[in-house]
Amino acid sequence: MVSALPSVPLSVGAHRVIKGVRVEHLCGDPSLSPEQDGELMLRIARTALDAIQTEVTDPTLFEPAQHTEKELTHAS
Amino acid sequence: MFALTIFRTDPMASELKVLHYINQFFGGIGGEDANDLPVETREGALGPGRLLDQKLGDRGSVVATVIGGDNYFVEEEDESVGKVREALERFKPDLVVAGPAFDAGRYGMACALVCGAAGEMGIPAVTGMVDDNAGVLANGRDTYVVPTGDNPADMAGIIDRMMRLGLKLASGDELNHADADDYLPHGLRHGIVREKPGAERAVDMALAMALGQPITPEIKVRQYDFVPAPAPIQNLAETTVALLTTAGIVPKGNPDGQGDGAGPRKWVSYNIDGVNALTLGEWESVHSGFKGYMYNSVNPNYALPLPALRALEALGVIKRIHSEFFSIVGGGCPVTAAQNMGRDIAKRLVNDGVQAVILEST
Repeated sequence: MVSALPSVPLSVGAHRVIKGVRVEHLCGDPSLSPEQDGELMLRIARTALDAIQTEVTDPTLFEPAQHTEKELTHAS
Repeated sequence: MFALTIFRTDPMASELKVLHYINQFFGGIGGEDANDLPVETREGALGPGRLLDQKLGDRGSVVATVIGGDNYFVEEEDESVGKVREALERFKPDLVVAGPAFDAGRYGMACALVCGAAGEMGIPAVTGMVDDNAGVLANGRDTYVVPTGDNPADMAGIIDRMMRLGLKLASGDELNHADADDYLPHGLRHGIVREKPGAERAVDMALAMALGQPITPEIKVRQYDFVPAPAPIQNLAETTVALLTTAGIVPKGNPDGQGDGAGPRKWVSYNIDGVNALTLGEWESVHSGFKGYMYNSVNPNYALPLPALRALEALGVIKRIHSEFFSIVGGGCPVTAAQNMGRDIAKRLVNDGVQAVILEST
């Protein structure tokens, strides 16, 4: 599950918790450009798909990467 | 001794008239084959009511028994409750006892409706069932429910406990808190005076914890079920993924009357075949916490990353997005309601051949 307040689901035993952005805009960020916003949403969705392919026994937090591969390429 | 505190006058003059509600099974009429039995009223006690009558002794007696089929009562709610009202008017009981219903959902709901009808007429009422029976939530704070297990072999003890609570209610004495008087908490708080102020008690508790001594928390923390983690997905490219949001996203205009979080909870689902992204003109959040927020003014997909998942679907990362997405209103949702909705949705997903779900929880 994607949650803006991951400590809550983790504390009650949700297994695979993905850190969302904020309660008011869980899967995106209106302060970003539309392109960056779309990339952020994609990172969250990819992290969710990574999580469901990962073996877990205890409540586990999955944090979307801070930068896209594209951004990293620009930075290097 | 208990009776003495209630009946201060001649016991015969104040003998309590009790009306009892039971379902077709406990009425000895039949099991599921008779669940469509219309509501009927008989004089005197029947089934577990005989036990109740016996336990009441000279404090009172079961003057009438209302019996209803489990399906009938809930499906024909108006008519059934009407029949209950007729019985209440005819017998004018001082107390209504319903069930116990144990973990039977329809029976529990019927018991709650019977208690609700009694309450409207100013007649004290008590029932008994497991704490997550849907009937517990039906009337909110107006129904007194003795917590039970799911084993009908405990009938005698439960009848005794329902009777004690019922006698106290009927006596007009003020009830103590839920644990002391043996009913499920209503969420009402009563002020009491303790020997030490809260700060001292908190320090005492912290010291006791540090020393490894047992403590008694003053606030009950609900124990949640432990559910083992589902196995990881092995082949994502062959996986159908469903989306479920708690942000209350619905088609604009809210055609199914999804609640805003203040009333009863329900889940709704909407077809998104061929939809690449939710648009502001067509979708909205009815979650009362979010009205005017980003979901309704900037981007409803913040509640449901549909565009991103469509892109991944097009790339073949997943097989497909399930035809429907699911939507509930999460804020302040009671755990039991969430469990019930979760069970329903999970059944539907399994039935539809969905292997994975991404739940967006706001």
